[in-house]
Parts: sequence; structure tokens; C-alpha cells
Amino acid sequence: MEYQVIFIQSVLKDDIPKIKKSGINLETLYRSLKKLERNPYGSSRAKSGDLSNIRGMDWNKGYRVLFMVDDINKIVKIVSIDCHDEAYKKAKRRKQD
Amino acid sequence: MSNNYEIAFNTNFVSSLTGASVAQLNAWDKKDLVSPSILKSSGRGSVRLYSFKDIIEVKTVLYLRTNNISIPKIKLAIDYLKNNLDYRAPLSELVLLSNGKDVLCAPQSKYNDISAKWLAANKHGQLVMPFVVPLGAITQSIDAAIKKYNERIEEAESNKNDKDLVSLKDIEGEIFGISSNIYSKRA
Repeated sequence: MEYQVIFIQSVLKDDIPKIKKSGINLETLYRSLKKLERNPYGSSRAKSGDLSNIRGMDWNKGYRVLFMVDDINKIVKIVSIDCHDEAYKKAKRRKQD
Repeated sequence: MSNNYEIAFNTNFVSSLTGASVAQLNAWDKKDLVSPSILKSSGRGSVRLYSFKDIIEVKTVLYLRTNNISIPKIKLAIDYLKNNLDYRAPLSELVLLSNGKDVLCAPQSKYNDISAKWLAANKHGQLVMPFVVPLGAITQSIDAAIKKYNERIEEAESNKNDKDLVSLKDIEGEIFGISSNIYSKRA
């Protein structure tokens, strides 16, 4: 385990409850997040434009886990988890903070 | 019409929501045309608080004013209704329509039975309102605007809290139902 995965509050308050409500098994999400702990660059792609500094990982069908990587402090900050369009919309808004 | 919201709205918010200027709201309050029902003015600089129903009335008065109905005429109709029909807030509880000459009012609940409830509100004066006030549309638009405002407040609160970061380790049990021991064994 090299990196620490952390969440912004909005992900915990909005995104994860929404996923829970849709009946998706959260264990698969957990496994994906553990992968990020080991190597955030392995199964993710860098975004550009408005979402530069954000990386995205596919999860479940059509879902995205969007996050920022701080290599100095070894932190992966999750900024949104949602279906494709919603995830990017939220990330754009939240990455300002 | 019931009060859809149990929160109160100050003058500035009502102004931004309805498009009526603060000066207009002040004037209409002074003229007893639309007064805040939750907290009335108590002198210069005092806070006034409007209810959802008050906002509908403000929007209705503004609609009438936009259609060139003068304040005295609107007041004439409202005063007549208040004094003669025991409607404390006639604008938001009645359907206002016109045959081009008279103002006709019907309670919302009896709109379909309108023939039994025709009233000419201009017996005290020459009041003509040649259109139907779209109360339904007005209410829906205010409702939508307030919902949007509430969502923005919640989002702002949420964003404020985003500076508090939470580690995966801290929530893996609570949110994912995972015991970290299981995963360290599997790894």
C-alpha cells in the first residue's frame, strides 16, 4: 500500500448513498479503491481541459471514480463517484475547493 | 392554498425571487396591498418576513402591474374582497378573471362551479381586468425557484464541508461493511 485514499465530504454524503440506493454492491467499489491505494496510475486515465489534474477510473458499468493524485504526500483524493456524465459534472464543480 | 414552506423570506429575497424591487415591496406594504404575514414592519430599518403565500401575492400584484392595472384599481378590488367576502388573502386564494368589463372572482376550490360564484369586484368602482391571472403558473415558478435556492444552499453547505477529508481506512467498516483484517489476509 503506497497511497492513502481520502474522500471529500460530498462523495460520502451524496455519491455513495446514491450508489447504495441503486443497489450496486459496494464491495466492488471498495476493491477498486484498494487498487488505487497500490497504484493510482495503473487502471486510470488522465483527464484534460476543465478536468486537468483529475484522473478517472472506470468502475461498474458506466460509472467513473474521479480523483486527484498528490505524489508528494502520497494521497489519492476522490472527488466524485457516479455515472459518467454526472461524475464529470460534479468533479468540475468540486475540484475548485 | 396552504403555505407550502414553513420558512420565512426577507424583503431582499422576495425581491430577487419575484422581480419586484425592494422599493415596490415597501410601498405595497405601506399601502396594505401586500403585507408580510410572518413578521410585519415595525418601523424604519426593521426586518419583514414574507410567507410563501405572500410571495404568490407579490408576484400576482406584479403581474397585474405589468398588465397596466393601476395600484388604486388593484387595491380597490382587494379591499372590496377583504371587506365583503371574508377573504384575508384574496389574491392567492381566488381565481381572478375578467369578461373585459368586470372583475370576476372564484375560489380556487370551486373553480369548476364558477357560474354559481361569479362576483363583480367593481361595484365600488370601474375596475376592468381583461385577462386571467395565471396563479397556477405563478405558484409553480415560485415553487421551482425556492427549490433551486434550497439546493444551492445545501450544495454550498456541502462544499464548505468538503475541506474536511475522510480517509478510506476510517470508513471502510461503516460504509463498505469491510473488516480490514479480511482484506489484509486476502492480500
